[in-house]
Amino acid sequence: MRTSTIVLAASVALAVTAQAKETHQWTKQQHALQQEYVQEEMPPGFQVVNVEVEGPVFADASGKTLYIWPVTPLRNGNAGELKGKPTCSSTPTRVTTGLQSPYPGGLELPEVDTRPACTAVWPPVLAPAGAKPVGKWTVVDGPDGRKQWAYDGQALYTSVLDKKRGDAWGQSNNNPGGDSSGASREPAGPPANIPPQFAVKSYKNGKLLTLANTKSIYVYDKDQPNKSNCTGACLETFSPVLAPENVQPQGAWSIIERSSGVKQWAYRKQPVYTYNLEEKTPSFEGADQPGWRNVFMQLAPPFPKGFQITDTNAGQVLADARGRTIYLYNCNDDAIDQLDCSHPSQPQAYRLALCGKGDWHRCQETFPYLLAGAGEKSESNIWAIKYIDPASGRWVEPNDPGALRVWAYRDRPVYLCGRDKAAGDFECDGWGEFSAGRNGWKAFWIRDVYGRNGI
Amino acid sequence: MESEEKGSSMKTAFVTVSALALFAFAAQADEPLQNGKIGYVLTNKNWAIYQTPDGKAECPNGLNDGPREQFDKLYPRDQKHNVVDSWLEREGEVMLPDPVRAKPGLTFFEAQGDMAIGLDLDGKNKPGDFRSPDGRTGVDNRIYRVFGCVGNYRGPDGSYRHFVESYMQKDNFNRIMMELSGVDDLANDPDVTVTLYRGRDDLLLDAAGKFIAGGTQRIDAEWGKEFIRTTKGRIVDGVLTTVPIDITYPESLARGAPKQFVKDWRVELKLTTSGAEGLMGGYLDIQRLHNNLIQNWGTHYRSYGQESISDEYRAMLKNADAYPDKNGQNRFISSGWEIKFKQVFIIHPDPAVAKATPQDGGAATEKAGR
Repeated sequence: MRTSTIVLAASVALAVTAQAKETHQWTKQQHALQQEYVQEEMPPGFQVVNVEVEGPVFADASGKTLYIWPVTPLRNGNAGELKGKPTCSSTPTRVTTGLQSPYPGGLELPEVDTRPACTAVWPPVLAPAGAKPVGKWTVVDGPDGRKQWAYDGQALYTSVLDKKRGDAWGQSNNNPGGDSSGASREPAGPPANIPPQFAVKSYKNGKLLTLANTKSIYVYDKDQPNKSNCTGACLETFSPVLAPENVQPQGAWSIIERSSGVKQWAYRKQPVYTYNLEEKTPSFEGADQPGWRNVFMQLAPPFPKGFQITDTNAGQVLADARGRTIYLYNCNDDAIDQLDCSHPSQPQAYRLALCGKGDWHRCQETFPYLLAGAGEKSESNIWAIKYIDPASGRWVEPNDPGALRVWAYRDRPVYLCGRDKAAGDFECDGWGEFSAGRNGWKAFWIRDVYGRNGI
Repeated sequence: MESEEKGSSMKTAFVTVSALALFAFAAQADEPLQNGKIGYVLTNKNWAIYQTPDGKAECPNGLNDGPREQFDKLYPRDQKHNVVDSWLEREGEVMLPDPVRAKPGLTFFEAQGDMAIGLDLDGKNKPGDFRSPDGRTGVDNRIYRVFGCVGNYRGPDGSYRHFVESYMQKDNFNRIMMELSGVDDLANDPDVTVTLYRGRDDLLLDAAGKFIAGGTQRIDAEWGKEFIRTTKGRIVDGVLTTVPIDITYPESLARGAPKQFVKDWRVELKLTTSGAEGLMGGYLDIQRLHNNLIQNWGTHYRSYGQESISDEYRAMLKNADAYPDKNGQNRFISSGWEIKFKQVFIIHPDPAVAKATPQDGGAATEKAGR
């Protein structure tokens, strides 16, 4: 399991010298489990679809994921939609708004003559004549006078990037999130089936369960189904998550009695605990203790075979088979409709400016695509091997001139950093605007020990 | 009766002796200097910027323009511009600055004069060196030329200074500790060992939010191995000076996980049992410094303090004074910082736990394909 190798790559020479910290965050078996959700009444023609990383999401009759665009406060104002007030219109936007400091509004957007309207990228989920509200589902008036569906007041859309059931490519890599990433869209879905004491947080590893106060919860390998074996000295390090006296079991959540009158929550029959020494919340710190694991409602699919988890001075990042840190590109423009610009089908000017001052050749030195090996293949939907034209930055067909066979995550190419020299280097992390949340590259963080990467 | 009295007085004596012993032990346990060791944790760090009251001596042309001012000069608001040729032109220049030439119409003012705060890093008083307000000569602090007229870095309220202090308190990523061992006398000792660690815990504050001595810090032996360095030092009249070594330290910035590479790093610190205060110096890796500037505090934040990273990068290369590359271009620049520490009790890792962790110094991989 532990490796010691030296790899010389054509583009980047790396010395992979030792082993990563053991990770006890999940088990192989957990990959098959899906997040439980609250069954809610829906209008006809809609369904819940399980998406690999996002978990259960709403979809239309064809299986296309539905999205919302909540209001996000940006540096110079808000963008997004208020409940009941959709703004995504069929009129293309031509200039920036100036919401993103320090640049002023009124600048002409890239590829302005072909820039699509918001509704061309985010088709509204139209409601048929006579559609009636059902539960949290309501009908609202769109800006173009059309009726569209809304969930919990937020107008619903599909994404032109999604081609099949289970795709959720409309959501960008969205890292680190918040005002650093612009006002991005997110899939809409039913609430997770969790008692009020708990919360669920999305990581690239999957849907992590925490307490409502964000402390991670853990399970113990030495426990038995609905029976805790953490007693005595064990309780100096971990504390049972106690359940209120009058609480009832809920879905996969059961209640065990540790001792007379002392009740503890169990999830999927495993008693749950908090780690007494957890510094930053949530964290994976407790899972460093042998026999202890974080609790995920649903795990992301396994990384492609051969990919590695690499230690850094701030946690763990995903690396390729040669130990090179993998990077994701984030981009969101400054138009009022806040369109994504991180996908190959979208304007490449933002990316090319930062990696090569507009020169794609230079970009292949600073941020080369991660080429897929001849024998490599994807075993999931979110990871794929595709072909890209490095000159245009567009997806192309395998036989097109100059096409490169590259790894993609969430239908976007992943990158290496030309400045990384050794395993564990992440010299290009945060390279870009607003710590790279707005336009730039972030390392593929798996574990964020110090909470510095917004994941 | 007699024996009862005798027994009672013996008990009293025993309790008294025990209490005294306990008191003595407790008193010793609270002593900052124990078994020849004393720990300190960094609480303040700022570039050593020499400033006159009105700034006119070192910055006769005033302070520099930042991204907003430069953008307005290059792309006046009363004209039409597009994102690619204006905004993205500026961002490309931030990330990949021209090493020699600025965009026509823009100027950058370096700090003037021969006065600066800092240390003599090379033991020479050569052309280009500074003299300091306290009478030193041969001071090596060329980064002062770069940052001296940038509002972000000037005291007392430069925006960068504010954020560094703020994140010193908010974060643990940047927790720098210094442990002195082999100390016979904190006033004078010709041979002490100085070890740098990263700590894992919050800084101790009083009710008013001021840093105070006496806290505890665990060593980050797990993720912070690359920050652990050891050197020797000597204490003369309460001032510690250390033997130069190369170090990496975690930087205090708002986002990401920035670090600096410093060659020939050393400190000169006035020590007390409650803290240490003085100067840090060394030669900074310009590439890494530029990476820190662009990665973790983008143009928006640099605009607060009118800081133009691309101009600074050119000034760094121009003023670089050590460690040339194969083409003869110096790649490191002499730098000085003003720093303060508070005394802290450093908790070393449990040997049993430490044994279970990798001892490889950082770079590490594990197969993750499952």
